[in-house]
Amino acid sequence: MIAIPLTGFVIAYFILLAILLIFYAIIIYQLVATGTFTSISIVVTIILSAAMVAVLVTTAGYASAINWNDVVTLFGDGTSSIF
Amino acid sequence: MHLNELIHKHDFEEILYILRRHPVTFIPTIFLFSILLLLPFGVGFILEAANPDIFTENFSRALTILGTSFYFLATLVFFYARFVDYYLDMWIITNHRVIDIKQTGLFARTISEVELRKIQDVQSDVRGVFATFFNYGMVEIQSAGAEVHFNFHDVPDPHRLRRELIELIRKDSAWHAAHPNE
Repeated sequence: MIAIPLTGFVIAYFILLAILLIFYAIIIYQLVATGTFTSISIVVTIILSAAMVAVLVTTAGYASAINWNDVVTLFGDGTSSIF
Repeated sequence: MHLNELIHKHDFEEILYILRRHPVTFIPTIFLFSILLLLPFGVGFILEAANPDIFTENFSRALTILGTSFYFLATLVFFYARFVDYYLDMWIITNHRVIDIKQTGLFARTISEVELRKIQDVQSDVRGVFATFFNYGMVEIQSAGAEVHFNFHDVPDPHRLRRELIELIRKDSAWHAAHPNE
């Protein structure tokens, strides 16, 4: 279970992550819209998607080992949520 | 949408070639991408050597994890954007015309075309050690109107492409000469 503090940098991370995923979706849309989502582009998309999932899973793994309440305390922000 | 719709392909038209820059021209991007992926490991090593406790403290660990995670994700998306820029820059040659599709970044695409019978001059050019070794270069097309000027950058086997284009132009011109009303 990961405790996610509602501090600025964690929120910033999720906002930036959302922007990146929107960009990623736009890129895939460009390939589909031009009818070039075939062969090489599909392989590249699968490899990059797998790499992104691996990064996210690794991040979650490392993040779960952190005592986020200490980080929250350090920021003076008592609010935290656990999910 | 299919490629046929993108170029508004006519019924009688047949796509003969879809050309992109030679894959070897994408290697510098892959090289840059590899360096960007390795960079955090190098920086982490240097920081840890300078201050062995830097990643043991909770706050700096948290910041490092989120920062590094975002960095890797951004690098992957950057690579994908570069790939799309490479992949969507293409030249399509049909039995009727030549179409130049230029992708600039993610949100800009320019499509221009010239009919084969209006092409006046075709030149091919291979320059440099890599280009000679991997046989890629530029094919330059000049239309009769002198307004349309296409450059196929870094396409594979440009000399053969020039010969085949000239042959296509000859066939198309002969067909139009035999069918003046079409």
